[in-house]
Amino acid sequence: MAHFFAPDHRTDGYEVDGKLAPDSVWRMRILTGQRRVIGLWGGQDLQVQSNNPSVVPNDGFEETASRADGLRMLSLLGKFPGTSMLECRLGGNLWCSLQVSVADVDLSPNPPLDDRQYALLSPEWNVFGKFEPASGSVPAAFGVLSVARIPVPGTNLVVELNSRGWKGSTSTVFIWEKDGGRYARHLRLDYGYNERTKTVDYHWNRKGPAKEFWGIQDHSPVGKGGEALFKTAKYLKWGGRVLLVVGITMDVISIATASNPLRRATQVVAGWAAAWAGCKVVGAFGAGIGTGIEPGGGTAVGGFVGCIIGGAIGYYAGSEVAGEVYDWAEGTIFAPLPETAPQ
Amino acid sequence: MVERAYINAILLTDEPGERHWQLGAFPAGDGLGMMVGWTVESPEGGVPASVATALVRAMARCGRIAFPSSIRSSGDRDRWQKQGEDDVARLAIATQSPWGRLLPGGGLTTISLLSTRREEAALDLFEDPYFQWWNASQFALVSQPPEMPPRLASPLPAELFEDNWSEAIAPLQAAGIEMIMRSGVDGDVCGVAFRSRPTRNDFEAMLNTAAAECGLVVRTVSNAAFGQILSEASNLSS
Repeated sequence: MAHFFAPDHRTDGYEVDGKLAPDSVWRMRILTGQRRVIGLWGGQDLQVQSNNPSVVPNDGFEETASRADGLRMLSLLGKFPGTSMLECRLGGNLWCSLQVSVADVDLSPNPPLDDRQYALLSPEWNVFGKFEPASGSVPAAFGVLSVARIPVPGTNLVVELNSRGWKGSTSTVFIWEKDGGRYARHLRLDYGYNERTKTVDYHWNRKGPAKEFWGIQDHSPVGKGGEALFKTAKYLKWGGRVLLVVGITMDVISIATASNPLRRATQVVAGWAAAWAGCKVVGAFGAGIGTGIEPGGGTAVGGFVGCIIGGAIGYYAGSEVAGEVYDWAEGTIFAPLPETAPQ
Repeated sequence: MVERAYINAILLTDEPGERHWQLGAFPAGDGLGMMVGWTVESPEGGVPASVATALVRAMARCGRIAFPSSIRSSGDRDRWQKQGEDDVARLAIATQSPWGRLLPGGGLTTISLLSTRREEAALDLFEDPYFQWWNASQFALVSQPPEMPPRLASPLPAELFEDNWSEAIAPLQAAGIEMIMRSGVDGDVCGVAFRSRPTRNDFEAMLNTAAAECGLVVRTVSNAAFGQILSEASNLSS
């Protein structure tokens, strides 16, 4: 029988009536601004919803455990003082419910532990870390970088890690003419035989006039910094592609296992879109700064660093905002306008 | 110091070359292959216009030129179709994708080929944005008779894009292919593999003439001198 239960058999703020099961909880108390966890047993197919989102928002409940046997762990946020019913439904039929009382101060004999001051330091339940959906801004940021084209401000150039050709290249950093069309002018950081130096070295190759690429000459060798950039770019390209696949896979899993898949899907889509935009915007800013320091190598370093930072922030911000907007939209009721008789 | 005789020169060597030229073990030293370089500076990067013209003109005078082209649309037909004065076809070849090669059937993909006798059309082989000359991923096939496209059939030899590209000349002989040109390291050199000695002699004669028409000279040098002269090309350029 589906029922709510207190994690770790805690009693502070959890009121057990034992009606549905020996440990079934009928009411729990949360302090305003606090998050508390409630367990749901046998509820794998149930849709869980707060009927008063202003008191307990339908924020996905940070559901971190969703096992095949129906054990689910839900984290409820006490947003404002009041009462809400947490209802579990299947096809519209109510299976079980939990009364949630949110108060600024709990003067009952068995109040919930006031751990709000520690909320930012650690999660309420350490077990969360083990079950938390593995998604996030890091794979998104590096993944986006591996396929993004970062514009260089004030020029018609973009920085990227791809050769755009029939086969892979011995070059790792490409600064392409954005609208190069069929001639595709570019500057690329290459490792291989340099016919000018008669050695295998790290060097720039150019296709297009030097003046379009800050005067950098074809076959001009680069120093240790260029070598480091070449190697880093190589790892970013392939590592980023792996993280792209991993990140997307993890996000799909997080959608599939979420208590509210639509909300999570909204967050994921918004997160990736914002990561892409963040990469482009902050990457362009970084490329501009880098160009000012050292055109070519600095352009690439600034662009890549900016893309990673922008992508990470973008993903995080995008998914957070999307979650908020989703909750707002879901908790908003649009009252129909009164009908008036035609004049 | 290299002699000034090598100013604005197209260099040829048929001595066995090193692998750093990204042409594989080529030339083999059997007289059926040569490596081509040039001492002409290119302000725009890439192959200098005069060198590109001389190479294309010499090839066009030896037969009909076919090369991978991502610029000209070829539809999805497996046989040649007329497109203006040229012909286009889309033929199968082994994919370069390591994942694609794991697929059943060896991971075949298709590429567009352009067959032409026109110099201006053939010059695109140095500029194709996808089959990049500078990335050692471009080749040109010269076939006889020049009036019609080569009788190529799918799949094309996978070697054409590989290090052992010159070995493709044997299976392509039946299609009328007389020579294959393949770009080398950074697009700064290229290799030319010939079906026979007479073909090579014809090409060298045509290249001498075409180079002279473009204000260049052709010099045959040793492999050691080939690398040395190219490394000093910026000093030689007039």
